[in-house]
Amino acid sequence: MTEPTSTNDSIEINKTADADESLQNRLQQASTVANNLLNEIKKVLIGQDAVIEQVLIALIARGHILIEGVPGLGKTLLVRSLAKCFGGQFSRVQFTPDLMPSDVTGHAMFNMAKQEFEIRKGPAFTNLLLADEINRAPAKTQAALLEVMQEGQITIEGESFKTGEPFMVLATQNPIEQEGTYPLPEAELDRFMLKVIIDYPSESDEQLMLRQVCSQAQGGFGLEHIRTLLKPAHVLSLQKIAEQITVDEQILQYVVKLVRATRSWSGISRGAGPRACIALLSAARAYALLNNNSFVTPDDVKKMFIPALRHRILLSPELAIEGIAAERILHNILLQVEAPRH
Amino acid sequence: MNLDQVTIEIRPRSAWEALDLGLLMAKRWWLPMIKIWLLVSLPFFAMTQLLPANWFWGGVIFMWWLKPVLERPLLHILSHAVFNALPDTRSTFNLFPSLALKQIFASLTWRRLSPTRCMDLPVLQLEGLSGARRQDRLGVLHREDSSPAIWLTFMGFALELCLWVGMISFIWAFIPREIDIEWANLFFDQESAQLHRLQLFIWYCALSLTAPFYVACGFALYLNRRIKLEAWDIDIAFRRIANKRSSTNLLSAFVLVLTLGLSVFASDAQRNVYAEDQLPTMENSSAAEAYSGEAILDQPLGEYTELDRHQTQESIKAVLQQAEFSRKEIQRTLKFDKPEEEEDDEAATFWKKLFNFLDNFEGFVAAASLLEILLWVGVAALIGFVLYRYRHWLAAQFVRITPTPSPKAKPVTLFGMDVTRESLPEDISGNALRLLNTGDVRAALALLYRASLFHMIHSGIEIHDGHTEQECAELMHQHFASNSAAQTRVAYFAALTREWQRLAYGHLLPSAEKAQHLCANWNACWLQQGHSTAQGVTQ
Repeated sequence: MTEPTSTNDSIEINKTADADESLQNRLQQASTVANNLLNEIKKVLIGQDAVIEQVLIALIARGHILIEGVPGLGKTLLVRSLAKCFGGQFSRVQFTPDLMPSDVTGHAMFNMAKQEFEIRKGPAFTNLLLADEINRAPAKTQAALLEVMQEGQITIEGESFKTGEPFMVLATQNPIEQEGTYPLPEAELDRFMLKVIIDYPSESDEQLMLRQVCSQAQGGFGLEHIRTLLKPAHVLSLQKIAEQITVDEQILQYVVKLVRATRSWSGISRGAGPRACIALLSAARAYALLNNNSFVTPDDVKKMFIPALRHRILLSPELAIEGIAAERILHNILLQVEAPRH
Repeated sequence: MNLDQVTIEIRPRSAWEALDLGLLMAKRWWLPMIKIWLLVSLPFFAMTQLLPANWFWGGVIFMWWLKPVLERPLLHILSHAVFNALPDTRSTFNLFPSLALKQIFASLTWRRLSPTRCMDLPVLQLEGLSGARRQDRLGVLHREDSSPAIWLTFMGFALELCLWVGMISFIWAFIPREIDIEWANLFFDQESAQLHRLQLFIWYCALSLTAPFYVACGFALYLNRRIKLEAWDIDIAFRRIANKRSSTNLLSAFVLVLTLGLSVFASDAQRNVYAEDQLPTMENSSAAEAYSGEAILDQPLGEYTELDRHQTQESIKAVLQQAEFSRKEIQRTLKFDKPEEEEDDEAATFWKKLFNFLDNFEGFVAAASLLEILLWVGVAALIGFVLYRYRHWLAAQFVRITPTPSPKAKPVTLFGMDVTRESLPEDISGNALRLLNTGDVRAALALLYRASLFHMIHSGIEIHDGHTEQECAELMHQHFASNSAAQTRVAYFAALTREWQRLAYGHLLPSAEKAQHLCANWNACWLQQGHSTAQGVTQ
């Protein structure tokens, strides 16, 4: 940290006024579009604003999202409405104990008529892949998603195929304590940018939801009323704009400091890896975009810290036995790690 | 009773050995016993067969209830057979009415369910005791071996039931499978009227099989108890010695003296045990040798007299003063002198004296009370000490005391900036404007922000390491939420924070007007109301 009065020279404002202005404008537009998207989904999925916001953040930050919650809280509805909002393709795979990896990714099949192998693409070739109840499938099938989540491509019979663009996996899982579930392997968990806990809506929200459902002719959720606000290409440009959001050196240091703190923190037996830093920064950028900011502040980082890190740390057995949640430990880290110095 | 004629080995046995002896006795004389049993019980069984079919349970209970009476001839046979005088069936059968009528009412009413029935029957039948004498006699007999008698009754009953069920099953097993009838219903259900008579017969068979053994075992227990009480084995041994030595005058004279002496002792001892109970002598038994149809064992006690304890004590003393019991030996052995014993003696006498003294001391009770109080005080002190010693642990376990927040020292640096009064110039606005004019916008804003933080800290707002600029603004907003006078300052700090964040993280310079405005207004916002606000906060 240097004395503020002496850092004047260190500030490099290397953008020209025009470029700055055009970025601001584009940012403004992007933020408006993203907020419109948010509001559109909110119309259908009532009482889960924070969840919707985090899903959008993951979409803008090219991440994948793991949604944990008991059945019946609207996880599938959220994904379907998101897919409809940006006109993308949507496929859903219900993970069951007997699901095979090829059922997700696709496989090569011999065509008797043509006497040749044909590639039959699986449901992962889409824009939004909903992996419903992912922890109901054994680790073998869960691992089928590793490549596609990281690389955005699937290799079948030695040939790589690109998935749709944009591509996002939204996996839902039941709380691990429930019967008949397989915990996700660490490598898989690490590939999810955010883990969102979906909880029961408040009483007033639930009443509102019920009223809305009752007013529908078929008793549906009003998914057909959702407008398609943008195309998949627009989502890609949203992602590009988010990548242009300014990140100060101090913010980078703060991100690294926070993630490194999880590795040496008492009570955490396994801290987060470097992928957590990337995910945290990307999410903070997307959050800044949603809030119409052209730069990332420590507040954005703090806001995204818990969703981005909660599934990447392993609590020590003592704390786990005592029933202390990872969120509490992460909150302590946020309180005690020094915020950026300017 | 002639012990020379006894056909069993006379020795004290344990109760279970006695039961074994009873079984052997039953096996040995089973035929005469079962003969007389069938003779006396068959008429009663025939009576039950005359009962209507639905009186099945009545028949069962009737037979079972009469058992004490029907068992009496069996005991009669056994009691004679033991002394080698097995009576014939006819004479026993003739005696049955007189045997059966002895105390029949009591035997079939309140004594019927007595668990020690088998052991008590000889007292009634052979000794002919009744009333209080019988009770006393039973009291003596029951001092030992009553528990095996109870178990014998219980096991006998269980055996009867097992035999009954077993025989029914046995018959059942011989029924061909082709006859498809639910035989269990016939035997055990209420529709089993057809087979009631068969069942009753089976029950009678079961009783017949167990009765001789039951009576014999009970009699064996009784005999064993008498052998122990009256020292029959010693008696027999002396008789044997006496017979062997009768030819040798000198020795025989000695043995005679010894026998007489011991028999006096034995008779006295018996008197002490059960009141004037005279052991039948050989002379007496010679009268019984000619079988007269009366029980052999029924005269062992003589006339009943009250126990004269004084006389008994005298007799015992007299015996003990005889030469045989008063032989003295002097043994000389070397021994270490034991001064400790003397000390012990001294200590003992000291304590004795002390307690004697204390007994007479009137204030002793008061002193004891004082001692008690002191002890309680000691216990209370000990508890207090333990509580004090482990107070932290106890507090952690049971009492959740919220620690009183210790007043924190005001931080001197925050966000890496020096926020002490010394580091700040007197005129913040003036200095900031000067910096702004020189083009150092960042320095100007930093100065404003630093000064603002200084005032925030000193107005009581707690700022931690983890707080960001935005959170500081929110803290300030919360802190002054109820203070309308400070709202301009809150608004000013929010604006300053926004511009500072844009500059620091977004690398965006504020517009000249905004910067100018912030610099110029700092003094007005923070210093004018600062004093009053600080006072308000401290209050």
